[in-house]
Amino acid sequence: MAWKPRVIVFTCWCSSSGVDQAGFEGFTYPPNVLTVRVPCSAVINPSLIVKAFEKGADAVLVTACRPSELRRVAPSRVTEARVSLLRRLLRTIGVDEDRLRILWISSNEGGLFSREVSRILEEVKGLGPLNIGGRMVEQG
Amino acid sequence: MRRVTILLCTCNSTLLGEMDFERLRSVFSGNPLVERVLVSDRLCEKNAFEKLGIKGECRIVVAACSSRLLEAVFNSSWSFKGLAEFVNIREQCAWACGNREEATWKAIRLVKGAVQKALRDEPLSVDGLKIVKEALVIGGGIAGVRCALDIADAGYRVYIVEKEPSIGGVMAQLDKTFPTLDCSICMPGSTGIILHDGTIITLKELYDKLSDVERTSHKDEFLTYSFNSHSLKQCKIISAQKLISPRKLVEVKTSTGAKLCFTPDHKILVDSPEGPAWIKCGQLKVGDRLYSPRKLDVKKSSREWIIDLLPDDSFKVADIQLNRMIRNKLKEKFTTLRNASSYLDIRYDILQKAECFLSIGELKRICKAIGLNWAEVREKVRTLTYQGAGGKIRLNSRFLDEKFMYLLGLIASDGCIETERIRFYNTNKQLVKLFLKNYKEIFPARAACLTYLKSEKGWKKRMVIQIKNRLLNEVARKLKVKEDLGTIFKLDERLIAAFLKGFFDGDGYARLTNKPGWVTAKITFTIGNGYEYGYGLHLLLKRLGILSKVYEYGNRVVVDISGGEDLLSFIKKVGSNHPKKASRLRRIAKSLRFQKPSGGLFDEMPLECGRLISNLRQKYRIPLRAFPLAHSNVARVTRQECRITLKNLRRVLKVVKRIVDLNDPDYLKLQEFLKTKFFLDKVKELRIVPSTDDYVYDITVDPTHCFIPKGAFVVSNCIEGPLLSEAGRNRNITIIPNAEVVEVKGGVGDFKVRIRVNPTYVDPDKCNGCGECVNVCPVYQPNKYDADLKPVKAIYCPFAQAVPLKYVINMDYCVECGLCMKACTRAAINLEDEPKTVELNVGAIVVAVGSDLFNPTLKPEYHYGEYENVITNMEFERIICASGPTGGVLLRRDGKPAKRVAFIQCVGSRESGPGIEECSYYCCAASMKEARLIREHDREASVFIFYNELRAFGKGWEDLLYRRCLEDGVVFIRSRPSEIRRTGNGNLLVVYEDTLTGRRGELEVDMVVLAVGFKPSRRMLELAERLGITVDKHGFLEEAHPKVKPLETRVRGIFVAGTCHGPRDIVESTVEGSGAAALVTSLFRGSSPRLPEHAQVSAKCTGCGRCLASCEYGAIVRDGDKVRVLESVCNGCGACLAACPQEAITLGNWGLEQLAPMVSAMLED
Repeated sequence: MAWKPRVIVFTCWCSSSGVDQAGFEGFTYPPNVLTVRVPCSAVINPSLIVKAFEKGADAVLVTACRPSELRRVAPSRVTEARVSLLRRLLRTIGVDEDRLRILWISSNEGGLFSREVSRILEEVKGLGPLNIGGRMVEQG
Repeated sequence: MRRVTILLCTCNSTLLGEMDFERLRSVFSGNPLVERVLVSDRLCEKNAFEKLGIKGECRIVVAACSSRLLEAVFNSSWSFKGLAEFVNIREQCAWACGNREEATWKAIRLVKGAVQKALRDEPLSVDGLKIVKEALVIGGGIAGVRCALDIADAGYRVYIVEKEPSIGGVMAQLDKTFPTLDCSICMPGSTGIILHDGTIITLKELYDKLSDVERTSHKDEFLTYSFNSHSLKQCKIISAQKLISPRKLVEVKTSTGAKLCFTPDHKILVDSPEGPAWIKCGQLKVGDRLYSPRKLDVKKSSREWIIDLLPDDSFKVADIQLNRMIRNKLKEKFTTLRNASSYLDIRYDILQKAECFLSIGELKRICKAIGLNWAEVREKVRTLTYQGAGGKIRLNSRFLDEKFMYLLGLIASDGCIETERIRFYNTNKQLVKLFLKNYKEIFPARAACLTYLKSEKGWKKRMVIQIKNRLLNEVARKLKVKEDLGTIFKLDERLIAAFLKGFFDGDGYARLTNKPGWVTAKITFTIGNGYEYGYGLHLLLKRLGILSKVYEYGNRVVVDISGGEDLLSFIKKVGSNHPKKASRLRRIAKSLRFQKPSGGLFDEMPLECGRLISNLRQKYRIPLRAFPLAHSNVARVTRQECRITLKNLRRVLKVVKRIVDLNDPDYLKLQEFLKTKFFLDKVKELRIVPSTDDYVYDITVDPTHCFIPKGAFVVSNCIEGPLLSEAGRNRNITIIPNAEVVEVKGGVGDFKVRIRVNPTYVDPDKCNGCGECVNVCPVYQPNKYDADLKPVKAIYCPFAQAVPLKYVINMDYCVECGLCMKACTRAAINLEDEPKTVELNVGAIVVAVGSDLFNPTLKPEYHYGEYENVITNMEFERIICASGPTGGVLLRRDGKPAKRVAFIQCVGSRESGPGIEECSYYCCAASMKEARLIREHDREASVFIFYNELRAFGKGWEDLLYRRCLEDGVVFIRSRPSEIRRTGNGNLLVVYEDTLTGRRGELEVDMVVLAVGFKPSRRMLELAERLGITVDKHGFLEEAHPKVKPLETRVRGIFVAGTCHGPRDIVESTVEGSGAAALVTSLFRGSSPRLPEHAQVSAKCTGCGRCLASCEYGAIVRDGDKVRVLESVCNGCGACLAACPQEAITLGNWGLEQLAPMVSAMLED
């Protein structure tokens, strides 16, 4: 079987409805997009993202409520800050920072999600498998 | 060891084709961590879990459809205490992946992850919260008041915090409300109104007079009876109005015999357990008790001169001396009599004659011309003549006296007034003698002819007295002794008593049944002149303070006095001259002295007494046996099931006096009831009757807004007023006026609210609203309530129906002269008053603060504030309001009437300029309503409405407003005018382009009304910050969800209602008030309002405090050197988790220790 990138998607409650909406409206996307639903994006601890990379994820996507949608401004901002910080960290250790993304999805944007996630998968495919996880395991 | 149950749902077998359930099952059934795998057809079915044998605390993974569809079903009960995990295998696997293989692969991974998480979940506590079952309503507008009433009716205590001195909000300023233009009390034009001088006038006549007065700008004052906290007052009628009659009216008939018609919206004062209450006429029930005055006092009651009762032309004054004096005076003034004759239009030959007999009218004219006082001249008139037989009458007494009235009473009862003569029929010799004796005393020189009529079969022999006396004829006719007695009403009490004495001797009947231990006595009048006459008699008796009942008996009308007190006062004040009847009355008086029969219905005291007695009982621990009444009786009274009688109240108070503190407010109030000027009249009959007239009428009485038509019972003309006073009266509602919320702490179920009460400088507990202070206050201030149109004093009451009705001082204008302090008899004024702080602990908060209106000065093209005839619709409401500054006449500020009025819609709404982008919702309907009002007030006025789109979407708006406006000739122009210019005479030119025709035009009008929309001010933002809730881009408060949670905010336990969260009209505001009340009561009655998932602080906390700032809800507080989460406030958002550098905060089952194995399991090969 050909290599397929594995993507972990952390979704907050609102954006997980958006993910559900994609299936509901019949938008398909590759199966190797695995969702982890959390109550709020602020719950996603950076070490959890690192853990995902470590355990073999080729990319991690965080979906959250748009900060401009007013409600719950602060958690989305926190997540955004965390993700941008992590991206910088990834770069310093030589991992392409585009393997970690944040995506604003609200509860009815199924089409947007499937479009974006397919695009990201294509890009990750171009990047190839992440070998850092394997190296870390070997070294550790 | 922990094991997991996996539930797979095939979604009614529809997923079987898209996913390999057998494979799923086989993969997991071999797993040692999995207890069992169950496949169900429909998990969303009712009791599906019970059918599969799953209940209670067990770890499950539910692989089914979208969690937003399924999770809510069982999270609502939290039966799994956070131990259930949900995997979406439908939308995320079966429907999102292209083929069966891939879908199954993805489902296996997701379920694997979920199993790992479910194994590590900890049960969450779901027990309930402490809930303080009291609510706070911020803002006392219509939404807030409705909300408070509904919460209070559910049995919870409510506080209303209002920043103004009175509750009422914007709606209190409105004249009438769309679409039905209700508000007013209306009654048919024939309803009698008793004025302060005793004149009985119909509503229609009063309306004509008042509108006439306005035209001549000569203000006569009319006063009528009004009700003000259990006292009968004469209050000023400020205006009257005429409205188109509805088809059906309600006729109310009471046990005293009062019969009145009302429009069904009309409010009537009834007795309720909480005290007097306003009830719509349509909601009245038979048996309701209405407040009715016991005694009708008339202020002006001087002598009534006979000469003033006579027609001007038919009688001539035959006093030669007087006439000579007049002639001399005329000569002095006009030099010759001929000049006088031509000037005064009096025939020369009359003046010239030595014994010039002038008619009364001529004499009055002369007096006026030569400056003589008619009051002095009439004293000199002793003899009158008239054309016809026996034309000379000498007046023994020049004004009405008892004898005269007695004679009139006899004539009224058994007499017959014809054009030329009066006849008096009777069978009783004594009465005939009495008649003749009296007549001889009044008119010694006049003849009265007595004849006997032949007795017919079965009849007694009848006697007839025939009198030819024009004077007596005219007086009797003028006083309407045979019509409705309306003119007698205004005479002195003494004269009325004499008249009644005569009437009693003629038609009255006294009966006494005296059996041992039981006395009944009755005085009745049987009348054949119809109901109105009987009611006239009832009113005359009421003038003397004697209560009677009027009822129809066959074709006769009976006026019946049966109350003990009333009988005694009848005997004392009226009595009889007829020997037989007088002796009967004496016997009644004697028997009554030993045993007074109670007045039955008329003796009942209000239900409120029961509560006051019960309060006293509880306060002073008075045992039931201490009361001088049967135990069951006292118990029923205190439970407010029946009313105590006056007699028993007296007895109770006699006992209570010895026990209680004499300054106890409850005791004092009971004492006041003893002196009450009102009794309770029972509704006997209610009927729907068709309206006979095209119009109904209404008067506005300042300041009480209620009056007593026909002296019968109290009615009011206000729509919001009753709602406000209901709120003021409700025992569960505490109104805190002049107050602001300063700080809110805590969360749902347990808010701690700090409120600042601004000083009013008048102690509300002492002020009784008498208004003496206003009379002495020397300073005026602009009046916010009347749109600055009529100034008020610096000490003022916001408006007439204010609740609470207490005076306040505006310190911005007060000069601290101290005159009011001297005038106040209750020492209620304290100029050194300071702000107070009140702390409340409530379980829920409803924000109903309303919104400000757009400030039209921000639109310079309309020159509001610069051109005085450009006004806002709120100012217009006050001008058109009957109780407003101009008394309901549409006047411009320069005093000219406005005949052409233009309305400009959407000022400050639906635009990107200084206003808001949204439609302001109410103004299309409001302007159409105002247009209709203008046309109703003045048929010659023209009205133009400049609109963008007419949005008449509410119930009744299309037909009652838009169609009626079109029928009424209101001109609609589709345009947003670009500018208003002013012409030389103060008129205005509206420059516009009609967007339907594309034509440009200029329209000259007298007045422009700007329909301004809502625009929240900065204060709203400050309040929102204090409450921890958000505002939207226009500045309105933001709801939790605009559609499914429109009344909730993001803070649980805080609700919104009314215009504070968007433009609304009255209907929607009240609906939202009730809706918010329902949410509050369900919060108070519900069992578990706590979210199971909330943040928890572990021992790792170092107390750095970074989380404090991260929490938007203020749910984290310091606790010693660490922090603590207020579980009721926490919304479970997780923002604090991100802020904590120690990772000391966790949220439910969403920690790293649960999520990390889940992620690993998903990625494992």
